[in-house]
Amino acid sequence: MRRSLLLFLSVVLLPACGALTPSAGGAAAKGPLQVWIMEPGAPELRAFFTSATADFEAAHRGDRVEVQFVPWASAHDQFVTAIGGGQVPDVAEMGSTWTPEFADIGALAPADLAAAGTGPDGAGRYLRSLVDGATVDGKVYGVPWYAGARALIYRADVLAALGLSVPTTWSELVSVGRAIRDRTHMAAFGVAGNAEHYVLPMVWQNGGEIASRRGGVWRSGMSSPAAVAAVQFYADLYRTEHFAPAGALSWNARDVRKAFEAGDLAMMIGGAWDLRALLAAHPELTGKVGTALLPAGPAGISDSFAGGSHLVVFAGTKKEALGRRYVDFLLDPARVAAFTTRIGFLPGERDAQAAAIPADPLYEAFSAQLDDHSRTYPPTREWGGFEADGLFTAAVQQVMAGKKTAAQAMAGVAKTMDAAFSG
Amino acid sequence: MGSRFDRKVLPWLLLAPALLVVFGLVVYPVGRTVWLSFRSAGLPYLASGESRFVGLENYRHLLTDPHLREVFLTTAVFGFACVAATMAAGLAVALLLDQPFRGRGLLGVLVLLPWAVPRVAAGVVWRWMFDDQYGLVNWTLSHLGHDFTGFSWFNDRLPAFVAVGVVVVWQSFPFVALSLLAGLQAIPPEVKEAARMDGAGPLQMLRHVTLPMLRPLLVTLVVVSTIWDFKIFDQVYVMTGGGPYRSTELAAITVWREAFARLHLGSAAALAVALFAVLLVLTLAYGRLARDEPGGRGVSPRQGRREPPRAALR
Amino acid sequence: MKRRPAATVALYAAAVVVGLFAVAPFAWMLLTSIKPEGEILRKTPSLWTAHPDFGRYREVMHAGFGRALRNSLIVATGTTVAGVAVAALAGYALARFDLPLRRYLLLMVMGVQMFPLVVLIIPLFVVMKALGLLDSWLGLILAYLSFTTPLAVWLLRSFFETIPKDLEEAAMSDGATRFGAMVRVIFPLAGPGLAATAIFSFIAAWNEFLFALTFLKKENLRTLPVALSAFVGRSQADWGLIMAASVLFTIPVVVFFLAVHRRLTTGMVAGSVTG
Repeated sequence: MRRSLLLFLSVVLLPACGALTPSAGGAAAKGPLQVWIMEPGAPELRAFFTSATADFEAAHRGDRVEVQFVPWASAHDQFVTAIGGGQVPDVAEMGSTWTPEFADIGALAPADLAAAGTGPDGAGRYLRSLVDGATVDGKVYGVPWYAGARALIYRADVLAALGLSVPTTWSELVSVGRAIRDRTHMAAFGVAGNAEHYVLPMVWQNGGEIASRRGGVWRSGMSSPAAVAAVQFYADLYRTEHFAPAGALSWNARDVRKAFEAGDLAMMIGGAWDLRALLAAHPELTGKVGTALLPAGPAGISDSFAGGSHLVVFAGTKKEALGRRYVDFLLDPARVAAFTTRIGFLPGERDAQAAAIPADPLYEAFSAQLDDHSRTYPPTREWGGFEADGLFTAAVQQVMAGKKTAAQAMAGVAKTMDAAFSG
Repeated sequence: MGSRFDRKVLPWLLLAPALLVVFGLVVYPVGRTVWLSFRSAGLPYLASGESRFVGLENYRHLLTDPHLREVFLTTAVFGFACVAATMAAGLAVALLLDQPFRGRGLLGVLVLLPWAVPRVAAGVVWRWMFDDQYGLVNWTLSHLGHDFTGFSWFNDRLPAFVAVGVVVVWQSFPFVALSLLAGLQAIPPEVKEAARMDGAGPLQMLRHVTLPMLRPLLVTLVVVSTIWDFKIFDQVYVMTGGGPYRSTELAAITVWREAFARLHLGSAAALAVALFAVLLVLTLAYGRLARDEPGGRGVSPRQGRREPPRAALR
Repeated sequence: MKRRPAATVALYAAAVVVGLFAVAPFAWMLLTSIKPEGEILRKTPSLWTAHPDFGRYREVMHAGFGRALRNSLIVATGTTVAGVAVAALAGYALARFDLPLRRYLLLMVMGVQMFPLVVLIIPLFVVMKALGLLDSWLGLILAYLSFTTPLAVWLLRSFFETIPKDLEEAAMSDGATRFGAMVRVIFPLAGPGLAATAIFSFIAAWNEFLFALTFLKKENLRTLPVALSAFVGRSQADWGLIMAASVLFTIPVVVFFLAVHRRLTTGMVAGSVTG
């Protein structure tokens, strides 16, 4: 029966057609606007975006927006694979240290920072470091959205009970830490193995440079004596001073905060978002917590990492206009203020910053840290790769575990960095 | 019998979909991967097919890069260790299930559960059980006399591999145990009886009668287990992510990272081809071992193997 | 043959240990998922709970697992249907006709079983991208066919070989074509073989992680293993929720497996061991 054969074959082949191809990639002309936002672990984030999306859709009849949340930890890999597979969203929040990398491979569309009265690159309007961080070959690829710098968060009640004052230098950090370690059951300081934003700024605090640019060429500064000493100092806080439990070798920033919340840790490096989240989760800590600038290194510098995010539009998106409208929507000062104050960031736009700083003096340290004592990492196209490979954390963990000296580990790091810069 | 169409055309028509699948989705990709291993390919390759011929450079990189060498060594050592543990556990459980006792049927079913659990879920639940502060494993070990309170399994390479190894063995031993059980039940009782008459105790029985008779089956299971254990991805990804400091990266994870997180497609392809080549060599070596060993051609209880293992447990 | 009492005790002890080893993680997964929040993070784990809380399942379903469950069902079913259809046709052809490929079949099956999937994934990714099939279930199903088809063809060929040829020949001498005989006479008898193949395909597709992780980026297309892995990364040690998600992923396939393992183990042991 030829007919039954044909019928049979078509039944077999039918599932293969159309029915199982829900939507083409993110760069489709139809369908909702695809937006990827980083998930820092703050539940208010989702609530914010639910209402923001509803507002946007109401203001733009017929346009729909789909927001997907991406955990920071796997975000870089996810971007890379998505770029490789042509599965990128239309708009995304991009970690400020990754923008140069993705701009360099042509994945991002140039941003539009122009605003009345401040010049074509909008330089005056936004935090300088964030604009620099998004600039590749003179073109800007991301609009600064928010920024935040980590400062010192500590248990004021514990320090007061022990008659200790807040450490303002490295040596004070050690002496205060020792007192806490010896006289309480708590861990003194959250020195974590998987947190490069804790250890890298220490290089600056010791007067060193992570990398510097001379004659148009970047060179690593991680093997300089200042950098090596800084890393050794950090590692020794764990290895010889035992300011944190053994498991801290593989802790990340979230684990540090967990320990602080549980009352097992006396001092930690953290941002305003950490403080906000931990007070929300453990209101009993209100009034017991203090903040201060990071302790200064021997060079008298107490710089912290000025982190933040850009909003980027991906090249090749078929919804560029809508995407840019969405970016402008998110960047509306009132909305930025609502977002950042809820989570604990500061707006990337300078004018908005003053208005966004919380009245609570507890948060003064963070704005002071961001404004006067913070820097960004070298805005190079290779940086994203260093972070993705865990270049710095791997090396620091080996020093913390005593498997290598700081000099050995940093020599390896510098070599890898220089090879990437030149290659 | 049947029309010309039926004899000449139909067979190929019937085969066509499968051939399409096999050639399009297996043979072609493998060939492509081999081709790619001789080239340097990154994002441009994915965008427009561009790549550069680099000869044996990727393979040389494999042999000289310390991390990659480490990954290979680690994969091999870990793989063999898991196979050994799985075979030992599987044999022990098979011998246990071969004995008559109350509840044997139930045990046979329970033993199946780890095999059925998806690898990602197994990784997740054991990760929880190996938690340093609230995990069941540390609590149990501490109660058995060795103080493991607060011990962090994922801080360091060796404990992390032990933890992952436990999961792998937990999921692999059921298949080995049940296969061996079928083999055991297929050993003709007269042979065992004869050995017993000659005064053989249980251990001697095992060494001189049981194991030799099971040799072909054992070899097959070792081959299959080795292949499985060299391909491990899911459990490691979910439990350690390759850390701490990339020290628990097994070959499959490294290939994936190189390809999809770093877009070094040529290098990743070379690594994949190398892994495949190693498995091929191992399989052939095992096969030769099975044929050449004395007793390899011994009575292989093939007839009995067709009997469902379940029947034996009633 | 009588056993010494000591041996009996040892036997039962061993049985208990083995049973516990096999089942404990499973039970612990279930238990953690229903324990109230305060009872989970305890230094001395409690082996029971008096106040089971099933609310987590609702929470987890809302957090995307309901959708992931549906997605996994679609992908696994699609793989099974397509795979069994393709393999049944090919298996029949190889069992009944003298084709030059018969010799290579075993080679192909062993070869594919031996591949680490990472060997296939890079070119498959490129092919799927070129066909626009990334972020689609069809693409994933096709990718799954790559590793389920060879073994399925092998299983079904072995199975068809056990069905006597006289049956079709009788039908054909009554005027049926070969194809008609195949469909109307042989396939209805092929129940057990088809079932074994379907079971194995379904489970393989349900559990598969690597391809799903790489090919699907859109959150609402994710299958269960990818959703679970992302959830672990996201939830940061909310183990109660993570265990609830794990249970959702595991229970269907375990129950299914227990119900049908008889067919599967027979087929697989026979197929993989006999030459």
